[in-house]
Amino acid sequence: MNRKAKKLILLGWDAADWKIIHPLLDSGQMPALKRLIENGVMGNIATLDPPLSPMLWTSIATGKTADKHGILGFAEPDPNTGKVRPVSVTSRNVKAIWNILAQNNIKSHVVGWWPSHPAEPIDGVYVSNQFAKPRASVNEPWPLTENCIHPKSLEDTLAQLRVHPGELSFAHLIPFVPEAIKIDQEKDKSLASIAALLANGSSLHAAATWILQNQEWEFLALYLNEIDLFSHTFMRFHPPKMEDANAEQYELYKNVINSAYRFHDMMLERLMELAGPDATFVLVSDHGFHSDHLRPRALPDDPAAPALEHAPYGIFCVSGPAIKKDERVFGATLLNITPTILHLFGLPVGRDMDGQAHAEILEEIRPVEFIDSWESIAGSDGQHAGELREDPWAAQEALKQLVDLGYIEALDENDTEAGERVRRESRFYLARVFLSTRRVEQAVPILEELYAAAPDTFRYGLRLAFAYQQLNRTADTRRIVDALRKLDRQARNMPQLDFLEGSILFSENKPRRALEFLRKAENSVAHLPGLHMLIGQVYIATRNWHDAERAYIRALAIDSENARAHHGLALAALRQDKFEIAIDEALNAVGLLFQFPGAHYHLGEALYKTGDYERAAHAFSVCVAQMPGARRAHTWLADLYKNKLNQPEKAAYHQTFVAQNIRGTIYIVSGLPRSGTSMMMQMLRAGGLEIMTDNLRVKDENNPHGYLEDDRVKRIHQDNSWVKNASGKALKVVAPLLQFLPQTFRYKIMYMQRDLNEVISSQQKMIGQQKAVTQKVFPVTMADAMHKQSEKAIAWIKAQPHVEVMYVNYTDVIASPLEQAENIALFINDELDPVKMVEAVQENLYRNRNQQTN
Amino acid sequence: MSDPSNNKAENLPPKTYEVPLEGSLGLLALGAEGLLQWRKKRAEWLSQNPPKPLPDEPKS
Repeated sequence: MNRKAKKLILLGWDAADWKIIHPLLDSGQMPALKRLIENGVMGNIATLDPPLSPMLWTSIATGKTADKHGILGFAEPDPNTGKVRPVSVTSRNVKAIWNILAQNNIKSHVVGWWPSHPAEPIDGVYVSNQFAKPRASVNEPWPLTENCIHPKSLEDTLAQLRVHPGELSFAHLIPFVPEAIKIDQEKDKSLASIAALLANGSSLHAAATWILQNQEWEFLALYLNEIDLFSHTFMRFHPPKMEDANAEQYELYKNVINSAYRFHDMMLERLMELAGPDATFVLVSDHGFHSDHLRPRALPDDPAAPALEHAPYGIFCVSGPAIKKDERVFGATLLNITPTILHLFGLPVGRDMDGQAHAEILEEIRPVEFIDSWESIAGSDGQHAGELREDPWAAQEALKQLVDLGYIEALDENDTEAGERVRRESRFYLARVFLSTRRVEQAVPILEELYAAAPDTFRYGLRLAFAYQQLNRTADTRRIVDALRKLDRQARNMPQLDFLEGSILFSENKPRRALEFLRKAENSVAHLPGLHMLIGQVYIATRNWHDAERAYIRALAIDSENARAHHGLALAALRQDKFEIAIDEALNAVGLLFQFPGAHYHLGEALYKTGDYERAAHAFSVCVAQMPGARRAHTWLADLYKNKLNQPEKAAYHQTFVAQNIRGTIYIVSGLPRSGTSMMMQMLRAGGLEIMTDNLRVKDENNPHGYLEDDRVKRIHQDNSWVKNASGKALKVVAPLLQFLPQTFRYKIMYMQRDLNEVISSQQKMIGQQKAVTQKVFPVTMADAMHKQSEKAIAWIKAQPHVEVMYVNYTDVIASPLEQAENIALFINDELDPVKMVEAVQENLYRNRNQQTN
Repeated sequence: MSDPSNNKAENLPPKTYEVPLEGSLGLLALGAEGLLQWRKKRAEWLSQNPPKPLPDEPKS
């Protein structure tokens, strides 16, 4: 075992946020944490969705997502009574870090983890999260909650370390509320609330310090919930003053949050003192907490509404003898904590864990070792015995069955109703876990079940609509959005629906219409997460760089550490020739999220523009290392090495790599003959897309700007081997021949649609049947055959998994060429220039318009 | 494998702390030791200053 941590404390500060901490560090008010940071690495840690503490802290302690660990919310049914109870550790399906360490003979202790009740029988001391809940006034007996301490022999000793809120004096409260004496405690219970939080945290801290002083130890997990609870109650009084905060209360309580952090720093100092200089500390929070203009003014009437106050990034700091000093760590998620601790103790990481070890934080980096799973490794792991560990939901079903069979008395109706509500919420959280881990298909049936059972529950429908949208089920998305808008006036005007509608339209390559809804959402609620990001994407897609820049600046005002917003800003600046800004912002993006090939790519492009060719080559190299199929980055590298850095062998390598390994998308323009395919080819060429043509068919009066065809297409049913040369280019293939395209490529098809009368009229004119045209003889048989041809081609397109299609209406292109050009550019996604595309659309080509339709 | 018996902090040199009768955040932050010292001080004070019984209510 190559162990890098002699002893380690995993310290959880629920909801701790760097935005609060940094000013306190700078002003010397958190000296212990400052020492910890200076002696280690620190960074942001990304939370998980849904951001509900029992789920998150169990993910931290297991390295697994909630669908695996089984903790799905704050409450669960009691398997024995069917009543609702706080979520318990017996519902956890997998081993926690302390179980794994215990079975590897690493002396481990646990204090206050959420959930951790009833106490697990590990070979150490285990104090559950029910330890310090006062159930009576200070002068009355205060028995311990049953099974909150293991081993039982320590119950009396540890019970004495509980602090009752009633014990605390003004001396404890004055640092939080200097003017506490002014408060009428009959009317305002805030002081009692502060005392309760202080007492609970102090109790758990006292138990932890007692363990450090009196027990052999190598690992201690201590969880403190108080920063989160202080924040939910008092963040609205934290400076700067919120507009609607009561001025008197603001003056009274404006110090509470900072005082809570300072108190945690004092407790940390004591832990550091007791643990000694050779201890490693892992300090983590499960999410942040909005402390600025992002604080919500009001919360909806949802069970998990307080989670809306949570910010997406928490704190992460690892400090100790073997850890790098005073450096930043990037890309941390809650799922990485357990793998990292295993690695520090020289133990392999489970392949069934969803996180990764931060091996890079060690002074001496060594490879991470793996094991298939710790779940199947036998040993004294201190988990509850099998009969105690059970699925409360299955137990509830079993209980209901016994009621139905008449073996036990019917549950109280209120209990049943409460149990059903909790069950639904738990299923909802499970669906959100699937959504957030890109398992949308697994989320959909759950959300459909919930939405069918409670169609008036807005959040169920909203998530279902988002899920459908991610699966490109546009009709279903629209159906749900329309239904949600009919719920009531409040729901109808929900900016989330405008956001969703805009998102749908954007995914349908309709950026202008998308913007109408997104701007509406922006006017209603400027702080909706992701809104400005989407607006920025729409502007980028329409090459409106200036407005894109503004959108990303707004996104960064909401979250200054959003790597994708920095990247968007870099791209917008790059396209406006603001190269220094582009470089700074791209560096910010990769600083926050190193695994970000797009940001490395644009960094390379910006560096190239400033003549910094060496660094540009490095940035492009990182891009291709992270995304080997990045054709354009290889092309840049080939150019750089050949023309700027005089390294022809490297240039040749990248050229060969592209030729041999990268199959780009082939852009197909299709439709019936005379449906506008040539015009589309001309648009694409004008926009900057390379065209596959042999130029054999020359322009004529029917197509004065040329056909842009390749003669080999006519024989594609006999030989399609040459199609591979169309990679990254546009190729015209009429509808009946689509089916002969080789299956081994990805295609994006722009399928032209035009009124069949116009198509036939144009065809007749082209082949010289002018008489038929002028006499308006309509060839019914021909029309029927062409209609069937088109239907057959569309059916083929729908059946191909490697084909994306965009249907382009010829009339729309003539009527609103810029909008359509933007839509097409967005579909192509290759930075086509819509303005130049428009130049290829000439109204005078629209000479075959059906007179009847005008 | 390290020897966990070396990790106990019980042999840290004792420190002297100011223990105000009304308690302090500093004492709470010291954990078990601070808490127990504060309670001891409080108990000692109470033993020296037992609460006086309330005077009987005047008879009407």
